[in-house]
Amino acid sequence: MDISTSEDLLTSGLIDSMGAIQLVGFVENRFHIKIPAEDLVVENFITIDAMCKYIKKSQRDN
Amino acid sequence: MLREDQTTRQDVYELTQSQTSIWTGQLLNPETPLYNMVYTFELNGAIDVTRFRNSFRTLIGQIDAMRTVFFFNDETPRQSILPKLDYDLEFIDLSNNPSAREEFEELAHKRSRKNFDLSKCTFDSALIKINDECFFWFLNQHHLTTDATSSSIIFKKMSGLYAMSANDNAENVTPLPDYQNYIRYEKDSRKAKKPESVSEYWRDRKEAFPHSPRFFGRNRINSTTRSKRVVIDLGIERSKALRDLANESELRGLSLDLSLFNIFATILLTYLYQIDHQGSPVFGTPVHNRITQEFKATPGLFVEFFPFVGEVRKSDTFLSLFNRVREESFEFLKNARSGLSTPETNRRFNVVLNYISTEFPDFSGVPCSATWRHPGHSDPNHHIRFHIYNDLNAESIRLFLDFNCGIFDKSNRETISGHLLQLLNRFIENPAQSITARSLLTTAEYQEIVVDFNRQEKAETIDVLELFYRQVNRNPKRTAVSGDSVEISFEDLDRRSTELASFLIQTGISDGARVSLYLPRSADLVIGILATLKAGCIFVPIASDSPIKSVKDKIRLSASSLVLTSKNLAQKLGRVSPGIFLIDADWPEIEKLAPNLRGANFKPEDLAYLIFTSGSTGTPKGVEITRNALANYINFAGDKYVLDTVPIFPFFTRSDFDLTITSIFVPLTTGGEILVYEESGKGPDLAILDVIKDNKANVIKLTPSHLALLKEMDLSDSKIETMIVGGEDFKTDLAKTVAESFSGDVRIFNEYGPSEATVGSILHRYDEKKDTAVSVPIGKPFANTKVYLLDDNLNPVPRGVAGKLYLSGESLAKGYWKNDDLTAKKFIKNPFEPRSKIYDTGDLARLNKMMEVEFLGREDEQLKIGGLRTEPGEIESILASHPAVEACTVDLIEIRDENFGREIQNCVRCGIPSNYPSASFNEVGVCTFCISFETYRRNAEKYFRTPKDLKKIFDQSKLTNQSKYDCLMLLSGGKDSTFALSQLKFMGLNVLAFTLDNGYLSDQAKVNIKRVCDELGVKHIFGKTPEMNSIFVDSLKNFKNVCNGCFKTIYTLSLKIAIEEKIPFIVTGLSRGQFFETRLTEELFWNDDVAKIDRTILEARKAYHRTDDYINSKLDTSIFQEDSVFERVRFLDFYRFFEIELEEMMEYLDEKLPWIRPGDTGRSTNCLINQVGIYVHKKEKGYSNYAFPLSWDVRMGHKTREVSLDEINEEIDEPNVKKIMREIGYTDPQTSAPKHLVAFYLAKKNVSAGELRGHLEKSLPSYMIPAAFRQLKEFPLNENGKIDRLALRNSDKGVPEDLADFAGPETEFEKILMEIWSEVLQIKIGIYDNFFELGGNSLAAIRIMTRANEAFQLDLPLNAIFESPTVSLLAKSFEHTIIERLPKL
Repeated sequence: MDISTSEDLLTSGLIDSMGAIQLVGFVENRFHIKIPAEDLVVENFITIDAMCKYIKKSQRDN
Repeated sequence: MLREDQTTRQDVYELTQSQTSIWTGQLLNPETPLYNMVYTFELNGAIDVTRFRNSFRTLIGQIDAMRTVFFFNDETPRQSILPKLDYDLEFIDLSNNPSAREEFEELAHKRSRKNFDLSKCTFDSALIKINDECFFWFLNQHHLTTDATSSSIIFKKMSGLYAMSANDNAENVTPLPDYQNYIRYEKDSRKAKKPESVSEYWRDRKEAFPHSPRFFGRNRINSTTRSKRVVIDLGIERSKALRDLANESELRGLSLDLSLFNIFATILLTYLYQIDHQGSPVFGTPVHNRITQEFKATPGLFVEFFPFVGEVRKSDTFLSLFNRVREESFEFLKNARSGLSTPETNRRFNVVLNYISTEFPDFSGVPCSATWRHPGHSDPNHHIRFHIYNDLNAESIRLFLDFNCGIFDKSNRETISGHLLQLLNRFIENPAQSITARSLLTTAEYQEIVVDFNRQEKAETIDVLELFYRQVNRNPKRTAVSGDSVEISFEDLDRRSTELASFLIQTGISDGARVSLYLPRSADLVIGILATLKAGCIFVPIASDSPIKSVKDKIRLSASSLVLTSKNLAQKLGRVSPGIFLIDADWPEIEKLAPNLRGANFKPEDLAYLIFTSGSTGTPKGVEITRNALANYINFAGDKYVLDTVPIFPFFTRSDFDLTITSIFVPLTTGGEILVYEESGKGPDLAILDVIKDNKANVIKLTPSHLALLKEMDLSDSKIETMIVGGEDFKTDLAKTVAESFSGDVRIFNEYGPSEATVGSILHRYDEKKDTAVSVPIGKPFANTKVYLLDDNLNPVPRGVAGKLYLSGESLAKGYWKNDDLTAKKFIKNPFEPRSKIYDTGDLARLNKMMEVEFLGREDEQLKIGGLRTEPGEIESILASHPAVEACTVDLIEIRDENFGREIQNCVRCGIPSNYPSASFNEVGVCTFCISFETYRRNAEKYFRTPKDLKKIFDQSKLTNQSKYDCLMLLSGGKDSTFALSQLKFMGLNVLAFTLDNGYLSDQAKVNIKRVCDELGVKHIFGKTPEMNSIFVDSLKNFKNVCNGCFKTIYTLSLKIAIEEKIPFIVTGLSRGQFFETRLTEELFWNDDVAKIDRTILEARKAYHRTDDYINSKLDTSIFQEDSVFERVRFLDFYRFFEIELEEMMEYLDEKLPWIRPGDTGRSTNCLINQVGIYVHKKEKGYSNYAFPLSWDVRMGHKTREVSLDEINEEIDEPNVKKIMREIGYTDPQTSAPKHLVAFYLAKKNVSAGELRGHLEKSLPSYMIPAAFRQLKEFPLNENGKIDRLALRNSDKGVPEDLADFAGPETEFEKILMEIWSEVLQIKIGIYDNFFELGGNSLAAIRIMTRANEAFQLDLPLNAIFESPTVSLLAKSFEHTIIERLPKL
């Protein structure tokens, strides 16, 4: 399936809680960051663009 | 009917993990519809019946899960999918029935309880017509083939098919994906090697030792499957508030559903914490496992249960707990993977939280409302199932609470629902509020438990002296006190006590002065009590047989103005500071005085007596009882205990025991008689037996332990009408026996009350029919007492929940004598009533279903097993229900090893120490190992080979070897391996030398290794792992040495290198002694088939590398699962082929090699950490871990006994050991011996421990089963007639003998195996004990299997013991094998 980088992944039902957690787990492992629970909000993972932005920010902060 | 060929033609699948759990649950509860998933859909519009039925037929054709059937194949459950399933949907027309809806309800109820024949069809469906515009679609599926999401998929599909059928093109609908795909996926996922992080997560959760909460004290297993559902509609407003809360910035997460789940998990954890007071509650929750778009659309069972472990803190707010839950659910979801649940993880919870988000939209345009129906049964291991049903088409969220009927009654179900709702409301109202600050109780419960429960008629309180005077006036001549030599009438008693009181007053001893009454049980003592009261003094009773120090302490602490005593006792007492009055000598002095009580002033709030009780600190504390408190109790006691007959009370208990107050004051104030039984003066006080023998008393106050003494006595002619039992826990069993021996013609009261609340505060009259719990309830508050059961925050706990018992009311003591701090601590402000106090009894109790208080024991004596609070009463009750057991008690006892502290001797031949397990010596001091070795030395020699044999092996392998190395040599750098390396080189082999750098190789040893390898021209590598320190810690914990961990790391790392480099051999430098330590056993040499020995050792090696232990979890060992690995790389022990004596070897090393014994370890080793292992091993097991291998070196002639003893007894550098322990992070455990649960019992006949264990195992979880059972003739009692716990514990010092009483063997197979196991493992075992938990290793496995195969003349593989790791299971496998091989008839 093709997904555009700005497609809404979470609220559109494309990804549910369990999928989202796996996605977050993947991001953590792939980019060697630890995502604190308070950052686990829709805004940070709703689209691929949002995720990229978040990952860059976390990498910068560390 | 299913034809055989139909199934055989189909693909047969294994069950998924989740299906297996359900299948097993169903198997355990056949004929019970506990896994039925029932939906009824109300369709509000016209339905074309024919189209509907046709669509359903198409539906079945499209959904493979609906066509799946289940059956046994080779004793394992299997499933297969039928290509075609003929099923005609039933149509039921109720439209002519005036009460169609009721009829439908009944039908739905009945059909939802259908039991499926899973080998034929797993669902039941019908279409029911109510009227033209209303139909019901009934769909009942077995959970094996569906789940909540699946139901929604099926509904939508059916709706789609029905819509299409209007145009006759139903067949063209795109089919749904097949469940078979998931079966395959799940199997792969299950079989795949788990990522380390996942294994670690579940290991950690297991270690948190979570446990299921107990409801109403019930922790029983195997309760009923019957279950009732409570449905709570949260309502539109609250549901909206809840969704808003979930969306608030502090709480929101990745999805609304997840946030809602986290909120409900927080509520549930709070609830479990509040009712169970345990910090890490656990519940089970299903993970949906639909992780791909395809799976999301597949009907079938996907959900899988995993335990969710919470951590709740007393200081938590809803929000702080929520934050922790949010983090945990994140971790949980990452680690809960398809197929990873196990029966073990599923046993860990008894509460389920199930968040269901689903939808059932309209049915092909017809408005529809779906109802999820409860089949009336559910998994008996799930005591509460808490479903959150979030229907996406409804505004209101609903809660479905399923309660197991064996645990909860109707009222429980209502209150628990109320509590959960209450917590939910509080969370919504203010997430920042404390989770425990407020009570769980609803208003109605508060009224019931706190207010109504404590409501009593207030009766008039008349002073005890006033009551006494009334009796004197009424019956002056009646006998008040009688004994062996005296008999005093009321009149005389009054006169004499007035005389003594006058004396006190006139000597200036009155108005609050303390008078110590150090007297035997006697009329004089009664006179003394009355006199002190009359004089306005405070009496301090001191029993005549108290130790003299304690007598003096009480006189001193009470600052008594006078000691009333006798000539005899005064002699014992010697000099004391207050004056002494000898009641049997100084009386003439009194007679000189005119009796006059004027001058005595007292008010109800003044003190009547001080009773000293032993404090936990050792200093006795004086309890201050006012005249009013005494009067209050005695008024009530007189009313309750005295019938129409004149009461005759025996006075046979200690005068300073508060229980005795009843026996003295009730007869004095009711016109009864006190029958005095004086102390015997020596030995234990058994006056109770005289009381019964005399058979004069008709009312008796005593302890349960006293009662137990009476059990054997004939009581059929007893005059006793009323028994008041107090002072300790009163077991129902005992009450029953006693009541029976009186033929029921006796009133038995159970009276509870601490001295601090004047004798009795809570009372229950035993009822043979109603009282069936372990202990007789203590009942309801009496004597103007109020009873509160509170949690740590002083909030009342709900009915059924254990709380701390607090008392308030008129009976409360004023406080502790001259101890304001303790008074302030124990008598605190009453939170329920202004201006009054509550007393903290330190006891735990709960309210039962009849609203009676049940005593649960002292708070500070709670048994904790592995951190779990265990109620001994629960174990005791079940134990007592065994027909042979008369009385029992359970306690935690320290058990020390029997060899602990014994003197040690060493075998005169090999030097093995006598404290090595199973070592024993003959009369000339030779050990059994040496003796039995003689018998198989010859066969053992055949195992050894020559250097030529070794050469041949290498020569052969050269033909096929693809590696540049001929072998990999494990080089420790010590003399043996260095010598071996040089010999391999000498043989012309190309060797890769491998050394594990465990971080503690001495520097000189490393230099040595390098020098030797350079000299020999051998390539050398060091292996390393970052996990080394934690491996050491694990090894120290589990094996009490470092070598086990180190060896396994060496083997693992080197084997991986050999595999990578394709090196065909790994050569070890183990000494022959070490062979016998790790792999050669006597049994292997019973015959001389060397090839068979090699095969067995190889099997053991495979098992060793595949065991799921710490190292396997830390180093990736998945490759060892392949059998071929052990063919590609073989292990050779150099010294199997080469024999050399130590001296010769040393000479060679000296002359030919630049090897120098390291001097920087201070010891004969090159590893600095191995002394840590020796230290720990010696400390915890008593002997060095080298004792055994060294003894073999001696036996094999490679070392002398002296050299070996020097090594065993080498001194350990303790400071250095401690330093290394700190470095690797090992904490030396405290040396206190482990505590074990021990059951003590009295029984009519001899009952085996095995039988009792079996009896308990039927209803208790394993951690609650005592480790030992001790049958006693009687319980040791303390001076107050209660069970003397200290004596009990001390009596049990030598317990190991009794530990032998484990579950005994029953079948012949078990008997034989039991013998073998005990011999090999050298410990006492039970047939249910697990091989691994008993410390079994692969060596022991070889020995057991060899012996067992020999015994049964079979050849089961070594693996059998790993698959059936108990005597019981292994016996079954042998039995089965034999039966299978019997010629078929």
